[in-house]
Amino acid sequence: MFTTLPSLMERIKTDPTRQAWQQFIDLYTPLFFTWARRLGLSEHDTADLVQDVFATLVEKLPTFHYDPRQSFRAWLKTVLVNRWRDWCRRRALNPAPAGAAALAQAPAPDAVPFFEEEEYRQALVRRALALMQAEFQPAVWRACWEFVVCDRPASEVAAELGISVNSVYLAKSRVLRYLREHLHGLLDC
Amino acid sequence: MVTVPDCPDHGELQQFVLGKLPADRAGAVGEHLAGCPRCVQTLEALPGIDPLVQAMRAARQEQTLPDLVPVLISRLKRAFMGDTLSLTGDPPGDTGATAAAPPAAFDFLEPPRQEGEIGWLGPYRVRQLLGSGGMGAVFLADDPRLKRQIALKVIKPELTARADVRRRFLREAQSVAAVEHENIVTIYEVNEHRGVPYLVLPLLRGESLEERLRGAGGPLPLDATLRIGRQIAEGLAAAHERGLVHRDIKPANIFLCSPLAPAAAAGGPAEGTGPVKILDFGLARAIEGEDGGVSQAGLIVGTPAYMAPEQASGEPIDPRADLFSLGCVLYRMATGRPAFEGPSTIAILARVVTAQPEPPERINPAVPRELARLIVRLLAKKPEDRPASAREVAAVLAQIDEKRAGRRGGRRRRLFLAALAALLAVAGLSAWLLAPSPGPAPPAPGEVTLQLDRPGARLVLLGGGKEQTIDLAGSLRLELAPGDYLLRPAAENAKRRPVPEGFVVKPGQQLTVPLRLVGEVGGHDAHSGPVWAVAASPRKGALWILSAGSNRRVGVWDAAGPGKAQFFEEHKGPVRALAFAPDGRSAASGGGGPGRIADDRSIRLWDVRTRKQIAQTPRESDHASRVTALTFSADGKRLASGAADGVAMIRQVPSAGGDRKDDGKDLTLPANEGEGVYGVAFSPDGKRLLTAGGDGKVIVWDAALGKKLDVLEGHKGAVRSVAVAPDGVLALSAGDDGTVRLWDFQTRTARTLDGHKGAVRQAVFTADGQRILSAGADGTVRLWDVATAKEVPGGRFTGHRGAVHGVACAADGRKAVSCGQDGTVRLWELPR
Repeated sequence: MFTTLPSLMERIKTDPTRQAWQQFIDLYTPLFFTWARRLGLSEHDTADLVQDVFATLVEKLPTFHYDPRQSFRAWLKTVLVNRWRDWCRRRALNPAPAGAAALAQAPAPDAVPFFEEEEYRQALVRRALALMQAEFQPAVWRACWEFVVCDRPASEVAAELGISVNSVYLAKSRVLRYLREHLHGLLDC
Repeated sequence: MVTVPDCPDHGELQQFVLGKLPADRAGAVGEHLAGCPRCVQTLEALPGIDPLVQAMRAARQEQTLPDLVPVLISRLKRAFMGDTLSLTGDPPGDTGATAAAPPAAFDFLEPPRQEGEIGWLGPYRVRQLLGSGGMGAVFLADDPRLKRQIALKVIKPELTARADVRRRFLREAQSVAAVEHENIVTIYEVNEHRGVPYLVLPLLRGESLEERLRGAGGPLPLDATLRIGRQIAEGLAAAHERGLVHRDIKPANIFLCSPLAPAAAAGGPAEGTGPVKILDFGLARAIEGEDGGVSQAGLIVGTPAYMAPEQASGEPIDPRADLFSLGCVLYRMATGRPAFEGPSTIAILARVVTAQPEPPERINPAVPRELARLIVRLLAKKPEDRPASAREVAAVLAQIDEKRAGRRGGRRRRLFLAALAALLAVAGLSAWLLAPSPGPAPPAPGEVTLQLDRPGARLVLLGGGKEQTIDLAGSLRLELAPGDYLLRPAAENAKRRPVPEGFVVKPGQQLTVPLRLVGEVGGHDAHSGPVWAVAASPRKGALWILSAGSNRRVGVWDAAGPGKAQFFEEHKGPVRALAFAPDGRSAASGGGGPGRIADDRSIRLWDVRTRKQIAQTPRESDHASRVTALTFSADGKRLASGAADGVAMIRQVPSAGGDRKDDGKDLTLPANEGEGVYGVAFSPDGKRLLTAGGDGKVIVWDAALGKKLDVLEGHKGAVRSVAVAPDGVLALSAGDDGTVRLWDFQTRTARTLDGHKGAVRQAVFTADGQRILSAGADGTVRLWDVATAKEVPGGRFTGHRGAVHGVACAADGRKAVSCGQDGTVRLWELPR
């Protein structure tokens, strides 16, 4: 139980298996989707853009170097905005209806309310929690959920689940450790 | 306070509980805590909070993902499947680059012996490098024995370094050499010289299709597109019939020969109508190996922009992969643009697997509809949705070509003949002149009876060298020449397709073909917003369709009549659930939405024909949350409802006068508490009620006592719908995990119908219980066979733009109706 997991980021960089990428897709698609929607794209165009973003990440992520001055979030945002700019440019070039007009009306990326660190962290953690539940025994998960997420007293949770108080702390420790290790490099915390 | 020596200090405890300790230390602290109540007490006093914990707390508020997100995730995963991630790039084509001198890598050549040559390979005098690419190099060489010029294709030694690969390459090349066809380049010889395999090919004059397309800078003329496409298809057909798959059909591998004799054509005209030759047949596979994927040298086999999705995903392939590639080539010729473009190899592959290219006729309006349709069929993601064979593709291209030629030349010829006939009519000669001239005796025709139920439709029959329009209602007997025939709907029925799509006529044979024109046959878009639920009259002979709109109305549409949809207009909020009473005369509706007025949770009972409200639930007995599901018991006496707060209710249905029949009491069931009840269904005998909910469970209740009898678990995610088959033995449930599950109460087993890409919103049994209809967030309605748990052939219906929220089956089992996010209600004819 207590072994160090290689983080998702590490796996993608050193051993980019299909599974690692699929986890990455699971984790980040909702987030990219929300970001891209804030650029004012339709759902359909958003799906297209997110696909482009992943295509770029497949090439660039393995060589991403951690730079303490720039968070991973900021880097992702840059990738997304660049793809979006390309996309608008292509739109403008194509004689598709409203292409150039769409570009002209498009908001400047800096004006777009992208996730700042806190919102990003919340979105990523929310998604990770939804995805990783299966990795834990139901009792451990439930204890952590009630105690940490719902912020209820440990003794109350212990009594309700019929476990010791110390098990509740243990559950919290395990889930948090897993989360930290799994998201290492993706999140500053 | 005394501290036991090996107790961790506060800092470490805090680190532990936040999951920040290294693995070994965390284990030790965990063990220590089990035996040290004091440390546990200390922990209770520590805050144990950091940004991660704060972020976790935010997850308490549930957030639903947009419908498209799960669809997008599964699309992305498919696009990134296989080992395509290690691809390095698109190998350069074999044409184009011309090097002046051989690079050092050509050390397999023996040194030159005289002026004007760069070396020797076996008996061949190598004169000049014509081109090189991913697979090897092509040289211009002399065959001194036969005194002719040839092309010598030498495979890169590093690709065939292994003896087994080399042997396989030679074997494959030999089997290609055995195919003699006008449209496949002839292989004179397959050999190896000191471990270097090579092919001896005729020296072709002309240009590759890639060069032609680049030169054109846009679409090719239609006649060229049809001619080239047809010849590629014919070459492919010949090879496919011998079990050979090309695997790398692309413009660079299609050679357009100059029309003139080789010697005279040197530097001759580029614009030619010489034969089209497919190059490099089967070589891809020979180097790649049986297992598919990427060769040891990192060379991608197949070219991303022309590669079939199954090939891009590393799945097993068959001749239909070549048909997809041919579709890409036709697309490029017809529009001047690649069907799939992207900034990188992986992006192109992702598009090949997931994206629908823009319809060709939209890019180039000059593309005839038949050609556009053929291209779209060739580009079907699933091999089974493509034309069955290259032979068929060649036939369709020939038809299109002939039809055009006929249209061009036909009018003039007809005018001429009419004038001639008028001149000769006096002499009584016209009959003789216009009669067809006798040819060789044709083979005995077959007698085909086509059957299509009334009201019938107009179809186009393609085959026997012609295209004819037939009006079919009831049955029609035709004498047809032996051969393959294809059917398609005439223009006015473009949204439908015949099942079966074709048949084969054998000489002298009698054949009966029962046809059904499946697909969209009607609908309305009277709701000006998403439509959440749909219901069809349970009585045979009537086809009343009800629909529940977010526009606060219940649509009433007589699909069998000529009228438009009408509305029930009493709801103050979005309508989300609907049920027809078993007698087909009345129906119930319910819903509710955000806001004080829109939060109308009253369940209303309607007279369908008069569109008058019969009754509504009193406010005090309303659900506490919006109504999400409704159903009547088979005797029509009880109505079950489910709500978003996880409570289900069973009520007595008031009579038409609005009075309650007081022969039972109402029940409130804490069904899928807190998670929402999204589906309710009675068993046929009315003794059980099934509820399905957001907690992923289907619960079986005693409908009289309100007691929980059974819980069916298996769905991963919310269950959106539940239904019981007429036999009472089978039940189904459908949910966000994209599956429909079939529960057998007799054997206590479950089966899974897996196919939707994304959540399934509703699934229902057909009236006979033999089939299932499902509505998916992927925009499809699918028809399944209960016995096999598989999709019925021809039973997948697309047309909705966006998620399909609801589906219902007409009482006669022949039609289905669906509704969705796009605000439409659509009526579908089902296959038999």
